[in-house]
Amino acid sequence: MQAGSFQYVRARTADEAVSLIASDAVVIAGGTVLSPEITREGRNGCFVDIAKIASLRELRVDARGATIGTVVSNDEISQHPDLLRDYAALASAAGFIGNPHVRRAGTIGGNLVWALPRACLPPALLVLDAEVNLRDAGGAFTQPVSQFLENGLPPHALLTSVQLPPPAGRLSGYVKYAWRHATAMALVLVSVSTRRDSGGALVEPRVAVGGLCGARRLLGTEKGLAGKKLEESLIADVAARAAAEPPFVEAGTPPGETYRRRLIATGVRQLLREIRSQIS
Amino acid sequence: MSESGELSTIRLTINGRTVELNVHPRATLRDVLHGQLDCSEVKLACAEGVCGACTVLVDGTPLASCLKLVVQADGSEITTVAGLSSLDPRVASVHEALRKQMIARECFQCGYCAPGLVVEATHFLARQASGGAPPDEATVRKALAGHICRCTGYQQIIEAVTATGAGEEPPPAPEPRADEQEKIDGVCLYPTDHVCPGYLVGRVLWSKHASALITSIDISEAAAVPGVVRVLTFRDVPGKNIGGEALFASDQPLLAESRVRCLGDAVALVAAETDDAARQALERIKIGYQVQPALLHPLKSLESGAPQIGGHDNTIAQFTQMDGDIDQGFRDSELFVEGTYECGINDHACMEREGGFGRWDGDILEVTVSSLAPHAARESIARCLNLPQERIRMNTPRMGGSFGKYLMPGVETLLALLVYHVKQPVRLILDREEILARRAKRHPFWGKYKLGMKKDGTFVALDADVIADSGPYVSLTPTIIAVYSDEVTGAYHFPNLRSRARGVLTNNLLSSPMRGFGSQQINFGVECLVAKAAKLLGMDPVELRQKNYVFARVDSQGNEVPDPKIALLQTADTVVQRLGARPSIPAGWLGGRGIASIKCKYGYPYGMVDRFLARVGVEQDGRFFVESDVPDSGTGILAGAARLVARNLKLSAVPESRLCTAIIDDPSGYLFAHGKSASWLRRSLYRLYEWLQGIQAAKPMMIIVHFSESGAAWFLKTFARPANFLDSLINRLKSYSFPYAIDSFVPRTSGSRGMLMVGAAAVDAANQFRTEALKLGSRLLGVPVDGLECTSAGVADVKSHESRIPWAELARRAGGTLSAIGRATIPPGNLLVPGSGNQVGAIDHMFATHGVDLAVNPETGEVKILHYVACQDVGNALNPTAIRGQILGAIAMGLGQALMEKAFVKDGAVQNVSMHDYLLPSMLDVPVDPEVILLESGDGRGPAGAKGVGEAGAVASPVAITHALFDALGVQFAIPVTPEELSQAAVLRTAS
Repeated sequence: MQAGSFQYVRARTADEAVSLIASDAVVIAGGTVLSPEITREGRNGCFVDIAKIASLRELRVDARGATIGTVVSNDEISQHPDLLRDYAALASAAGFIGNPHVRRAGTIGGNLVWALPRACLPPALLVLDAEVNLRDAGGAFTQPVSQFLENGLPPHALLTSVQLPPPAGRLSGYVKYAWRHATAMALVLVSVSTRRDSGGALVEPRVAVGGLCGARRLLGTEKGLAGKKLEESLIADVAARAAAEPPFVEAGTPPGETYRRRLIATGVRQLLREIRSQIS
Repeated sequence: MSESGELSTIRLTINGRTVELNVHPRATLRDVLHGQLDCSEVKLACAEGVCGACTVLVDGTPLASCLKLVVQADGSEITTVAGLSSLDPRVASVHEALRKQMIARECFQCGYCAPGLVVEATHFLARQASGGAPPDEATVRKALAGHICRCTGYQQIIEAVTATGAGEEPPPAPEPRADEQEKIDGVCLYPTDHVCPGYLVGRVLWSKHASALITSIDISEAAAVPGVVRVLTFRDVPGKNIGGEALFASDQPLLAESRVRCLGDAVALVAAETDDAARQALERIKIGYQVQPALLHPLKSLESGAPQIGGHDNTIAQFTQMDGDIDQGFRDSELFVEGTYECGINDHACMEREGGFGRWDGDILEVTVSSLAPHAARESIARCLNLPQERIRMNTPRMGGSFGKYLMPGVETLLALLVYHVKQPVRLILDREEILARRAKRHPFWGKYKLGMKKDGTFVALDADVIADSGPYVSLTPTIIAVYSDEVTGAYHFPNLRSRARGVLTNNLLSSPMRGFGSQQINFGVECLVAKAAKLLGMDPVELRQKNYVFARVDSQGNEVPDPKIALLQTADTVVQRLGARPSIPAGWLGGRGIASIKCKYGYPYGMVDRFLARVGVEQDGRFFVESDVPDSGTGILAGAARLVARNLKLSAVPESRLCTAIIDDPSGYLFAHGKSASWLRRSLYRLYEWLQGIQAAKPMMIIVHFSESGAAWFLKTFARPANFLDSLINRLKSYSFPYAIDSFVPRTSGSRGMLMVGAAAVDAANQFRTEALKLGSRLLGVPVDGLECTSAGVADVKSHESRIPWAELARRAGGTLSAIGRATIPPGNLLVPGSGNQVGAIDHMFATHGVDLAVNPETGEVKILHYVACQDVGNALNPTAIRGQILGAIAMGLGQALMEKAFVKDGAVQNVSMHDYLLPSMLDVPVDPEVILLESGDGRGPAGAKGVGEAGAVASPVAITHALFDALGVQFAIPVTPEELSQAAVLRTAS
């Protein structure tokens, strides 16, 4: 392939896609991120379209958890009854993306691979302990989603699916703050999940945010929740702690840091209260 | 596999027709559908998946075709709005039912968003399980939230979709509007829909700085880019390098020469075979800049020693109004309220992007663009290209939204310059980013007020100092200043008044009239002051308002009219009653109620002239038509005029409405009236009159600005009489020489005056037509005229209805068409009040009160509109459905301007330049079920006592919302306000 050129290939199988990726092809599926870059900004390269590969479109929820193929649309995720029941944070996050036609075009894989600072899904996937299944010329391998988000897509790899462990009683929630109710850029994203032991104490609580910095789990806040009972006084403390925990990365655009941190506190408080009301 | 440079061959099935075609692999599906496959119904507004205008079904799924590479759609079945009726029977029947609902409810205005929205709504309804519960409004809003409409406020669209889902019959409606049907079916062509094979792509290089000297221009590298046909700079302007609006001043270059004064200045143009090549060329044009300090607030421009932006004083328009004795008024006052209020910039955000198509047709240069001022646009082109006006044709039938944007010449002169040089068709369409970052915005407003009143709340005196930021050029700012002056007291009466309104140059983006033509900002200022006064007094805000509403109206000489029927009291009473008790507020939220009353002109001020023409006729097939020259910006003016004619002539069918290009081609009216071109002598005489009128129109604001404040007052007082006399003399001479002339130097519709003027002209034409028809009938039947009448079938004998001639026969006997011309003008009057030198003001005003209950989430700053009520005196509700649509749309726009449409400006540059973050309200943001109540005082100056409608809603809604926020949070915000600011205010309030 020459530099400065544009190629488009529609792959029929994952194998074909992987072999093209091995020679530097870039994956395209829904196109919501890439197509403006290609058409308006003149981005070059070889693009391999995986949208029509049947094996990458599977969505399965069973005793082993959920497997969501990389080109499953965000629209499908947002409406899937099993996901809504067992992985509420993810279904909710998908439903917050853009607007109906953008959700129908965009895929879970795209949302993760591009990991734009304001992407909706990463905080939800972090609190659900998701793993990503990848393939490269050497074969299939798996990474925790946190590792994937930190390091990005490994070179020459194809994200084939997202794997969620069985819920095992895990409750989860998600909220997106934006200044318009449809097609809005996220300002702050908050997601929370937890399980409980028989006494009602929280087990393996997870809190993740996006929008202040990249998507990240708030380990200090989680520690503050672990082993405790979800009471109002705890919720207030934890919300304040969560707001202070993540570092702030100046993006140069409004709103400011104080407001964003306030939104984190609000989100954590709201989600913990929702979880408490589900418990009782 | 496909490679760049080469075309790819793909196969698509479009609306059931399978085609194989070669496409550029980088093209989007939308561009191929629109550009190569003649699917002009697939629109494009944002090109980033926000607005939904380009929505089509791809293998049955609604997708934004702007986000899909065309090669990705290879092998797919594509359905556009044009193909819905030929899909499976269920989809087709849902589509037909939806169409009927939408047409009956007059859902759309400009209609640019309609084709995409109809695709998605049809898909949504067809997917509903039959037998299941029909979708409610909330479900519909969620499903269609990916579609942005700027005109309608969505409510009538949502009602139509919900009613279709419920299987309801469409509401009874008058004869369907042809333009609504065409818009819903996507068959009308907008300016940016025009293409032809082999056209060139035009692009603009904009200034890099808000203020800089240009030290060098080098286009050599750009011109050498393969595919580039021509690169143009100011040196290539064959005529005068004067672009923009030149009614008041010729200060805006078409292409910058030695300096740039804002980021919206055009510096160079490119025409290329492909968009890629054009973009590459823009990057290779080398401009040397020497950056100068920029003035970014009018108060900075007014500081002594501030640089002169236009080579003269930075104050470019100034008008003072004095009533009573301000000093005595303040001495008589017992309480004082002071306040400073500001409104920021807003984009018109028309859904159709700005641009158009130009070509040579023989030796005629034709441009197809959006314009409400086609004559001024043509004059601008003629001036820059040094071409006679007769060699320029303006094709301006409709536009995808205007809201005042297209009152001023836009990109058409740049487009024409490209066509002039390259001798080939050129398409120049600005990207959304360019529109947001470079093009004119609503005038930012700054107003400082002092109010004196009695302890019982009676207003005694008002001192106001108000400023419009004009941007770097004079543009139409003097007219905005005139409106500021006329409406500085808003809906209230102050016996003693001193106001100074000024237009000031800055290095911000150029300012342009927008929805309300200044009324929004000026009503905002005084209304906020009144709200503050109510709080100080601890008085019910409505009671305070009702105590002080304006009660007088002046006639053409500036004298008070007896019994002026000002319906403010009734509008306020109605709103209070309909709002009822305060709604319950969600726990933890802060509730607020805001009620605002406004006074807002429609029609021109006295002392101006404003002539309109219409023709009513019947063809040999018996069908009636109405013609006038007002382009369709979505307000349905021509269709409304046609309904008036049907009512006037008691016709059974509404006449076809036609856009008359003869008036656009020849504003002297000669071509329109006589069917042939006017002689050179006539044309020259007409232009002489227009030139004199233009000077007159510019007079009060532009002349007095060079006097000191007291000198200006002296000038106005002294010269009011001779100025009024001169005005009236020129106007009379013009009317005498050109009975069918219009005034081409003013836009063809603005300030809610379209229906007032065109409607009146159409009614006059109908009356003239009746006279002509009876005369002809009398000749043919041998019955005297007073023994005949016009019926829906033709001319008939009053006594024995047997003796009659059908309309078709009359048309035949008249030589094919029987028609008559009607005229309308505003009543003559004085521009200035002799003695005081004040403006007499607009010929009439609209009065409205809006009320809103809302709740603010103190943590997030989110605002929930709980209840919205608007009440407006419309004089006579000629078409209640269309009027409701106008007001609902205005409420939504006003809500956006108050709460969402914040342009973040840094160093004169707008930072949020995509529709992702310049936030137009979506279906989920506008009030749910707003109530619109129409009062009919019968007191309007339009046909049958109708008043103007369109702008009052957008004037009242932002201030009603601002008041509700004041009630909830105790802060009067500058608009647009952000949730961040609201949240911050809530935190401070809780802390105190």
